[in-house]
Amino acid sequence: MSNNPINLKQDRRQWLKSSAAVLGASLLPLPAVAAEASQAKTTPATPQTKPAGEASATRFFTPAQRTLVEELSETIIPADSHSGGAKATQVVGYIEQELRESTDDNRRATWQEGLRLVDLMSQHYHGKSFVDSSSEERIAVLTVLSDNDQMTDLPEVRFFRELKHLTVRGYYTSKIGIHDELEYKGNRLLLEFAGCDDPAPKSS
Amino acid sequence: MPGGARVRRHGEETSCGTNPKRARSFLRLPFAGDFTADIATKCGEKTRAKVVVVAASTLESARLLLLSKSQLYPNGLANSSGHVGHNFCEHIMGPGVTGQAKNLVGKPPTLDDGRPGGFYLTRFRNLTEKHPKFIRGYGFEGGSGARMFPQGTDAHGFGSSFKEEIRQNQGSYIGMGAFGEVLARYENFVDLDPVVKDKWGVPALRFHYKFGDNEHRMAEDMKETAQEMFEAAGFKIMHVSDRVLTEGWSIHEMGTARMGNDPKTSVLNQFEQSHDVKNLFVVDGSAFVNASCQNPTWTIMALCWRSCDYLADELGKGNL
Repeated sequence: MSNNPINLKQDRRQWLKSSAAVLGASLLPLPAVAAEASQAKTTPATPQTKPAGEASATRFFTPAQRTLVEELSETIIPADSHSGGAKATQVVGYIEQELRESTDDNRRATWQEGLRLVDLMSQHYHGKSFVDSSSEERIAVLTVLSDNDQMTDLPEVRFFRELKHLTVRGYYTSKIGIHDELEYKGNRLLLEFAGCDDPAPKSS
Repeated sequence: MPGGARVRRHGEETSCGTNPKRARSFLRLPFAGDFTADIATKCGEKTRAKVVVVAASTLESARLLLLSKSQLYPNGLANSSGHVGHNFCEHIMGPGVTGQAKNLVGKPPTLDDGRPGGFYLTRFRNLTEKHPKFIRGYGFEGGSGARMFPQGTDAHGFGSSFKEEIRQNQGSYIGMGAFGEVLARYENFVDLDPVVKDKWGVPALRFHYKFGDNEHRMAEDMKETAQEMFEAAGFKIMHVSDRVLTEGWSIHEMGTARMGNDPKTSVLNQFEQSHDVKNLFVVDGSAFVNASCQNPTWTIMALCWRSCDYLADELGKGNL
């Protein structure tokens, strides 16, 4: 993809067009896209309400959206040989709580709209939903957004920045992030400060 | 001037004796914005004291004195000099640098939060050589090492390389920022706002305060010198800030009831005792004659201690 850089502003016309066609034909390739798209038409900033009583108060995402956010966050900070990734730290729960408690309607709308757009992008580039994509394909979609992360006039770019911001915050404040990944040594008595044993760097 | 404090109470004057030896002072604090409701509920109560020691913090102490106008003290209590509220000063902040010690990248994590604190570089300007562009000086406060929440998360990209970059770089960052002296000038002052009032209906303070040329020239030097130091130390420069934070940012307010030998140009004497009202002491940052560049709390405490020793001596001698 880096050999052939994508023009985000040109490409998005196509996937937005295809999104309209999909809706018009009532083809529902993925529940998340369809549910989200129809909801976005009416009340984009309103959290999902389900007749599940108490549970609805704790939900900002539909189950399908939740899965999507989980996979998106794992693509931002994946598990590796060193430690678990965003999925293992349940970053999605942190993000959901943050959005549920947010008083910023624009921010909530950015998430609802962004989840819809990112799946449209995945359909456009790979012919399948983000969740159904391979990890290389997922990386390819997010690379398009990351490479253009200064285009903040585009809602999918604003969404990507929010996704990265909250994933980073959630991950590095989790037990896995603090202890397994960064091996934080704090909150312990320091009996001796050994200092730095490297020779003083030579100024060039 | 005769001694004896007069403090306003709900617009009604109460006065105390003018003989310092037998004075009965009435102190009222129904209007101090930072105080809890407890003080407010005590509005109706009178407190009698031989000596009044005000330590409401620089701004509220000045406000209290200015609010305590009377026929005897038409400019406010202890303000025959007209200097109460004036010579307001603090510290100018903002310029600084963030760098990275490349030789610490990828090293095993260390317990850097367990250190007693960050580092401090004491003032070095205008001590032995005169700087051509400004007088007085500034110090640097800084910190470095691993933190519970890592630095460097604003790096570009995502995925496994992003994750590894944060892990490798944690603990290698170092940063410092300057605290510089804002010169105490008569033109920088606070007074009572004729319109804005607090929730008790008491006039709020109004600020007439701007950094001067000396502060701005000093800020330029802060930025240049910070960068020069980090480069000389071999750090990779990540970010240099020349942005001066707004007036008041340091929350190190000082100087609104300054000390001095001359009652015409100062409010308090060397023991933070009012020149005008001998049984009134003001023992907070308002007594400072200048801001220097250090955090003021310890000096406030040291001066207060000294003043209290003097106060105890004077009481023992029957002078108050």
